[in-house]
Amino acid sequence: MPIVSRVELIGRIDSFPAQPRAQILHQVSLRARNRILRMASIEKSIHVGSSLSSLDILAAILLGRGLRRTGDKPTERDWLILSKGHAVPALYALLVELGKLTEKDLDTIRDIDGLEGHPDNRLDGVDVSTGSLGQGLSIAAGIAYAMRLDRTWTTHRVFVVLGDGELDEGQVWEAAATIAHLGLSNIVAIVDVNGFQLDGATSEIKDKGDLAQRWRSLGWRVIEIDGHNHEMILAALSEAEASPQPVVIIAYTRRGNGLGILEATGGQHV
Amino acid sequence: MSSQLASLESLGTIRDAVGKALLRLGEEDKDVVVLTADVARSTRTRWFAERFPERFVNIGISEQDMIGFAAGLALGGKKPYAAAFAMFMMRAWEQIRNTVDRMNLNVKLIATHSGFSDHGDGASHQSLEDIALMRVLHNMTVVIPADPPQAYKAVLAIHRVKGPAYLRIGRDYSPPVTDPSAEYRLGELELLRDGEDVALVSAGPVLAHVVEAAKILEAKGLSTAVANLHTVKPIDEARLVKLAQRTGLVVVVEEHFPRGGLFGAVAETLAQRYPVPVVPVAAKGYGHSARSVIDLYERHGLMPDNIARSVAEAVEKWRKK
Repeated sequence: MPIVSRVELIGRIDSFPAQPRAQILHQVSLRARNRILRMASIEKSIHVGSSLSSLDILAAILLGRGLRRTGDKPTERDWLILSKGHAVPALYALLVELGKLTEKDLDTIRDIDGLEGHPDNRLDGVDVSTGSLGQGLSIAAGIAYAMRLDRTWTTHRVFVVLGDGELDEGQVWEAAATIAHLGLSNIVAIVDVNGFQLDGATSEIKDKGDLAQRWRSLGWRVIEIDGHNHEMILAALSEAEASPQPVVIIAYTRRGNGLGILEATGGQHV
Repeated sequence: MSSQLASLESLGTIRDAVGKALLRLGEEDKDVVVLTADVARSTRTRWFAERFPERFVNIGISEQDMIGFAAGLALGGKKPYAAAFAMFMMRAWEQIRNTVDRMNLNVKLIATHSGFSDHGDGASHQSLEDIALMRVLHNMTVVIPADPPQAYKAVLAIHRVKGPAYLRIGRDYSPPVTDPSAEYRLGELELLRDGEDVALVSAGPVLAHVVEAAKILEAKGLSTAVANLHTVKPIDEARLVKLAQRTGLVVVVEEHFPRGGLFGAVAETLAQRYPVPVVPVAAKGYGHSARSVIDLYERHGLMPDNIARSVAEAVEKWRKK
């Protein structure tokens, strides 16, 4: 393992008072939930349910674990790819915590010249442009391979957040096979299993089968967790980092988590 | 220079030339990474794989994943070259559009076996739409070298382009048509012969037939210009306009459907800058299997005598008006 001369934590949770990280994340998530709802009241077309189901996962990665940088090269930092790009309001809500966006910026969601409806990497804090489902894992593989070539792959990780509906896309499985075949253990995939896709419940639109088995059969290590339990997410992320195999965290979540009227329903708007 | 000239003349087929150019890039630039989708032998990227195994990944039969992987490499600071048959590169068009082109990533696409060149495999392998699909992309550079020396030089040229580029080559058939000692100028329309009555614009292996057709026409008293539109995007508007001004009639010959490819590029440009009749000579429909690519060229009117006849008809039609 190369000696890391300089580690800059991009997330700033460590500067919080010495509280348990999960407790801080709980507060962060509450604030971020409020922001998502405010964005939804300003612009009704945002994907509220999906943003709320991904929020705790993203909070745990960005502020719990934190993304790290050890140098200026693109392979000298951690990456976060929101492959289910429609959940980007959750990312924006957390970028406020990181000081990359202001509360006021959030009001421009989907406005002309405002915040994009799907991730765009011209915005500081968005690593990769996504929006077309199914592509994030392949991109992660390329970044992870570049890290391997630059010998930074034991230091740095590529986190990819996918949705369960997104797993309909065949490219996800192309990439899953590539990553396992190449042994790119610096990739951590997290599937937000909220049980819904745009047109209804995943079981009605297209059943996803035994998800754990599908990944495992290709050579992935599978960790299954409650995707709203911060302690579990943090523990899974730590376990993933120590794994010699690529890891997929299957996070069971509730669409619209925290918002009773929307929770675990196919409803789109507040 | 003479030794380089000699080596350029003995490059082998057009895909051999590209394979050798990639080897050279691999030597010169440690950031070059080559990918392919289970066609390492066919695309000659296997040579790169043998020399630089660490910087080569065979992604398997999954072109969409290959494009995403290439995009990731580019984001990670590498200079990826993704090689596949032109037909199957098209399968990943949306990935190219939404991930590579939208982020303007430094990904180079090497599309082989284009047009009718994969004669034996038939219509499923013969790409007649790819120029159109790549040309519409906002950031993409589109290059179609005519013969092995030009292909070799074109690979080195697109390496200097910051952003995505699509290099379209055939399989084997590519008679010499350019001057191997000439410098390759990306983005510049290359005038192969001058003329005043009609201008023929073409690219790729079929350009050699166009040059032969021009000789036939010349013998019949038609002063015929021939231009190599090796860079379809960005297009050389100024030289195209000059050609149109001098001849007043442009015939575009291509191994592609007559929609959106070279004909589209030339017609769109001249319609805005200097409207003259522009006539396509292109694939008449899907291809099919043939023992030789020549059989397909004959069937689709792309042999020198067919081309000369089509040009003569166009001259007849438009000169009367």
